[in-house]
Amino acid sequence: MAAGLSQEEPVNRRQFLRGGLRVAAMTGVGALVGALAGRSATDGTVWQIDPARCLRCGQCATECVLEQSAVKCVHTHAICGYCELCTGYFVPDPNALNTGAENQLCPTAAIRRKYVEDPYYEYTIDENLCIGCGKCVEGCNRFGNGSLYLQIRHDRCLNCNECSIARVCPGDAIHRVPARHPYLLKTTVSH
Amino acid sequence: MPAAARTTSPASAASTAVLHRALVNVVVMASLFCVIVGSAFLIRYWRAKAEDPLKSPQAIALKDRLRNEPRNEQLKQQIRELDLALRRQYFRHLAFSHTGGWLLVGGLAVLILSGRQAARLRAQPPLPALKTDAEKRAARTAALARWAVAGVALATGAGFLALSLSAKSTLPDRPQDLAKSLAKLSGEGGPDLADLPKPAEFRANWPRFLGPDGNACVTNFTLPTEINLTNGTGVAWKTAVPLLGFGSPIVWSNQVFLSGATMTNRAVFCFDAATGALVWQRPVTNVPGSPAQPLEIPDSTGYAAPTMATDGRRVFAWFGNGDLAAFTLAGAPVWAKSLGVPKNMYGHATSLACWQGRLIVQFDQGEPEEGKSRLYALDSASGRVLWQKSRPVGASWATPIVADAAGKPQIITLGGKWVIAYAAKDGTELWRFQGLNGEVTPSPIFAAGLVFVISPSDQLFAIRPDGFGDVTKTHQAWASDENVPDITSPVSDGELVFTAASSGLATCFDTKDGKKLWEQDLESEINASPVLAAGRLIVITKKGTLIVAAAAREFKLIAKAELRENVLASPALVANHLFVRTTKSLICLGAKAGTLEVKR
Repeated sequence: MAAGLSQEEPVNRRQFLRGGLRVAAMTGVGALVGALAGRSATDGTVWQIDPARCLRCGQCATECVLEQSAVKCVHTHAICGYCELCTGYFVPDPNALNTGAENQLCPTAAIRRKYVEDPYYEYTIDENLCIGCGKCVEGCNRFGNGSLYLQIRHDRCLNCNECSIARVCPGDAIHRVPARHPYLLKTTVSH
Repeated sequence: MPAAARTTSPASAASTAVLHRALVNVVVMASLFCVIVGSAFLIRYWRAKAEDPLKSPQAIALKDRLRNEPRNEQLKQQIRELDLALRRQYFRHLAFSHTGGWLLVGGLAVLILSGRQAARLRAQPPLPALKTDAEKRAARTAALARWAVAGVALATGAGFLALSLSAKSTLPDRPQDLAKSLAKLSGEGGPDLADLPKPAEFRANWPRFLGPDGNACVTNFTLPTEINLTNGTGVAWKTAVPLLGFGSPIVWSNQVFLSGATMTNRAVFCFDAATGALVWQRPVTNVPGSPAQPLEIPDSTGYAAPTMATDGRRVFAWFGNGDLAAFTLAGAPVWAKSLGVPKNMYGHATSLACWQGRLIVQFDQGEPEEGKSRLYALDSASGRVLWQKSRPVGASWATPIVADAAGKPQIITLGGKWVIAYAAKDGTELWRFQGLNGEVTPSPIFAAGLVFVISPSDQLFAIRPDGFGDVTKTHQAWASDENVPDITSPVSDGELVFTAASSGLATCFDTKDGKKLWEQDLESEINASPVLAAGRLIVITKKGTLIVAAAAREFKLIAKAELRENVLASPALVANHLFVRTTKSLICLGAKAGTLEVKR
């Protein structure tokens, strides 16, 4: 035992400092990671439209700082009636119930209409085309189940300090919501 | 760096020029690109704003027309084609905005980078212009510098000269004066005596408890032939005292001083000796070290039992809570300090004494074994402690005297079982005499070369003050145990010693052998020590009866007068006037004079 002890080299000053620095660096990295994790876990807020207060005025399409608004129409299929005459899809008193441009309400043809079975059709939104004008939302809410509504899409929203749409929203429908729950989804039929 | 290294080779210069030219071309191209893209941006932006394809009036018109011609297939086709065109236009615009933005960013980046690089290649170090008058300017600057140095030196010298002429050092000029000042600072030297009154002036006044030397005896004094408080006969004046105190009055020149106190208030009062008017009164507050909480002191002693003292320039007051304060004769505060809260079950009552610029403070307290008792000599001008001596006694109530006894000034103190004499100059203990018992209250006196001390209700001792060490067995001249007082001090004219016990029994002893010559029951309680005034023994009873008897070997009552107020303090006798403090008033007995003339 004594021989084993005698073979151990004593720690010199340089080794001691190197070890101390290593421990200090690891502690610092750990503290940094912890701080970042803590910051990411904290609840920030994002802007979102409350569908119950939205008046479908159309200003979401024009007031956003982005040229193509961050507001898009979303569709809750659980509420949708899959109507053949969808008032969110067709203009009032359409010439015919087909996909002709003269019949579509959406100015950018962002709603896809697909036959399911007689007399049901499925409607889906192409967000790349949607400009958030809310015309379809107005039609769906006025005559249908209200399954179409507007939401701020957070892959596009810049989360400005002061939302330029919120400043002019006549229904005061845009508020900050916790970032952990960034969307206010409709779950019930509204008329 | 050698000059060769700084020169650039022709090949390198040529390649730099080529590179610079290329960069300039890039800058030009990038600028052009940015201008084109930016212009296109602006044009498209304004066009899109003016003609929103999604709000095309043409499309709206066609749709309106379709309502009227629902079977018009050609119209439908026309609407569809227009709609497709408009939507293409709109999304092309969006795509251009997206792509064009990045193009503009890239163009600007290239422009900035190439511009910076090109500018760096053509960068020229600043080349100062040749100064043709450099030599002249250097000469002028050097001349200016010389003048500046001379000016500063002159100003500094003038400043030092003015300082040396105007500023006077507070240190003395002469080395011997400096040595004296240093000695005073270190506590070795005594106070400055030059400013103090002469001894004759002290003897003509009443600067402390029981007169100038603590033996309340004046030889040149005329008592009023009649005293009547009712009609004012023999009464010069009578003035109410604002605060209660059992301390006796002291008199200096034409001023009478008193202290008074309650549990929370302490004050010093100065009265005009000729008229009795209150000249000034000063509260004693915010004394450093004073106890924060009020003390409980029995009413029989009160908070202002110690008699004040004066050195002829300042007056000093000591209070039951330990506050000690000095004022000028005009009432200006000089200093104040607390020597500590007296630990005394009956309340502190020892009075102050002054000697040659020193304030003698006998601060006996607690029990002997506690070692808390001290005798202090303070510089009366500053309150600085010149010396202090620990005393082996507990609380006492007697006042020390300073007597020129056995050829040297001695501070004679009573306390516990000891009479202890100290050298007044430095506090060295000279001798001590054991013989006291009980709670020592009567103060010592010095007369006929003897020190007379009273052990309360026990014995009257006469001690020769010329010994050293313990003189108990060697220096007792005589002792008497007859009618010994417990509170009041004795008084002597050098031939006779008189005592007045609190029981009312007055006694006369022969100073030579202590033989009792007479005793007389004055039939009234006495708290105030008796005084002698030109062959008259004056005793004032507690109920305020002033009794005048012959200070002789036989008792002879001369006069009686009623002061009609309780008296616990001893009177002061100055210039044929007797100042008596009652529990309510200060009374001056004597002629109603315009001014009091004090012999000097």
